[in-house]
Amino acid sequence: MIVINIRMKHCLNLFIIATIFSCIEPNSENLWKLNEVVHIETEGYCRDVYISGDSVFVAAGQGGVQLWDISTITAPYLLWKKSLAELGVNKEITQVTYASSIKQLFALESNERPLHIDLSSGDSASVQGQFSSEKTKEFRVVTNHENSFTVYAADNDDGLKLSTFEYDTGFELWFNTAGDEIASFGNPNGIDIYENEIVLTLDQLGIEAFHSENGIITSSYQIDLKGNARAVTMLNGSEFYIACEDAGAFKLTIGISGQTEAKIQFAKDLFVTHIAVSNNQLALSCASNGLALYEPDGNTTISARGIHDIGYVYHAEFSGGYLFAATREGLQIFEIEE
Amino acid sequence: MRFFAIILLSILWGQTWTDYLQSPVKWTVGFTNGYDNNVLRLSAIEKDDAALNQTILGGTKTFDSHYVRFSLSGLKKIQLDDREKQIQFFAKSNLSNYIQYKHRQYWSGYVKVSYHWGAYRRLEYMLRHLDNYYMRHYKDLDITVNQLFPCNFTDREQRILISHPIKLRLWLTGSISYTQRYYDRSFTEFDSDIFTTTFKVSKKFRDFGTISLEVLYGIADNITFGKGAKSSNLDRSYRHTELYLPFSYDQGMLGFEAVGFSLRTDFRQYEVEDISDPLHSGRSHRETKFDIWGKKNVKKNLMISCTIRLRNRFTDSHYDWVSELKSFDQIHAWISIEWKMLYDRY
Repeated sequence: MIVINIRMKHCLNLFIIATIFSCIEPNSENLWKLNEVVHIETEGYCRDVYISGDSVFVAAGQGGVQLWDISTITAPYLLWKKSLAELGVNKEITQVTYASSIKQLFALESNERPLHIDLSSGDSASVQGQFSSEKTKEFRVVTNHENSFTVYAADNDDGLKLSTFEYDTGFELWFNTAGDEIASFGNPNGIDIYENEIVLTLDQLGIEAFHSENGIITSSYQIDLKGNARAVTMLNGSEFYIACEDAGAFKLTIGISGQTEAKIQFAKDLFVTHIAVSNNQLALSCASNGLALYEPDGNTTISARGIHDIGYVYHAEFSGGYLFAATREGLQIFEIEE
Repeated sequence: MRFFAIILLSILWGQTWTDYLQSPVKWTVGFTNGYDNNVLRLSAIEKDDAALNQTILGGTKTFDSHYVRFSLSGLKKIQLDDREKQIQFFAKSNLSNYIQYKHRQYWSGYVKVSYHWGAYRRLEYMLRHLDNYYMRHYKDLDITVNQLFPCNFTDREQRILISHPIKLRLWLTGSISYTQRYYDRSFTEFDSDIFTTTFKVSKKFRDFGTISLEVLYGIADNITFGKGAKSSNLDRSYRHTELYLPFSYDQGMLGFEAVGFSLRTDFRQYEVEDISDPLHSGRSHRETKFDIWGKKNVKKNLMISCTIRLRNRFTDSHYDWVSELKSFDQIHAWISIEWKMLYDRY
């Protein structure tokens, strides 16, 4: 004889009720939303953006260079702009970088030479001229001290090109006092620097890394990658993301002796031209496909968090909790909602 | 539904547990061997495309597949004090495996609790589950441009059904059901809650068979419309109407003890009217399934059935290419063997 005690009775009750009310929950796609904060019309294509505090420098393509104030993020206003004619160049501006400690602005005329603009005297922008060599694809500026800086350029003709400038207090001018040229394995089209490590992207030939020690720069290793390596974003001296155009993107981890410890390919079917990194968020500039968000889950996987069709995206940067996207449609500022 | 549960429990507690636990349990083990000539429901155009680009097939090399299905069901009848009244518990579970399509391996099943208070008088609650059913590979436009991912969905249906006689051997059946059709992570933009009502009239002819006519009307609400990423910007809600006409003849024919056929026609109209999206805008389809079957009892407890199903979907659209892309034909054929057993511990 089976004895049904009170506990069994309750269990049976629970089972029947749970069965009757057993709805299922939808799956979560785990995608991130892009909430637009503001959309700035930049006249020309917005090719690049550099954020320094409340100042946003814009490479506005054929619109030249612009400086926007974003102290009120929802209502940015234009502080000044320099047209191509005022800058003394003919081709569009594709990159801007600002060295805040010495108040010097740098811009790149497309496939030509970098421009040097002095912002140290108030709000006026004084064009100092162009330097380095033609066919510069991208550059980085390292401030040596308050009167000196060095520009590292990915020179598509010659390899890695260095130009050191020093400020002469007597003439109150910046003079190009030193320079160097280090041949690379292929023709570089992108560059990034982390402390003493420099990485160039070499288009079809992947990447090449250099090490700088006591002013002497030597090639460390070269890694071939699928696709066309276009831009590199370094996390530190041994970890970096590479945008490889139609092969998507790679995350590389390099060992002490220069061997590849880990290589993760992601966004394989996207045309990736640049990768911006902020903690666990990656923003991939994907040209006409817009902006793709990814999340590195750990050591081995990088998960897609959504493609956002915001126009033709050239470049993106994280700053102050916002994502700045340089697009053909202008500069767009977003917040990412995870 | 709460009231239904309370009524059921009240009836059960009206007599001692040991009384109704003494009834036997009828078990049935089934095995189905089948063939599907168009697993992915590809149109003729898609089949031509697949010859050049096999990614649409999700890693397989054929359009058709052999499949097997195991099933196990159990029925327990609880006779109440009143001899005309009884409660039945029925559960069935299936495990299906498409041999040529490794993605289509899934289980399904349902449980039914019904209260009977006379001939053709029945109140029934059913809970059905279809787990991770693979449709085909689609693009996940939220995270990719042209990469294909397997698209699976899970169904959970709850249905309440009532049946009542009108005249001798003529009865009506009505039901309402709520189905949650939720897709896996890559395709949540298709998630829908489907409310369905059915109305069926059946007539059993002595020494002949049974014929029924069922009308079904359903509304599918695309619950993720506008709530997700860009792919959810399209409303995939739809309404559908279905006519179902089953007929069975139980006096023996062609060596079978019973034979029958059924005709099911479904008309589905999508609600989206977006001119910029010709693939979905103003689209509707008419689907017809024609089944013909025969059953034979090889032994008293061993039954074999054979079924052939012809299926056709015709898609109507303002655009001819959409009609051609979304229309397909399919043939199913299967043989099932069922072995009935009785478990009676008393």
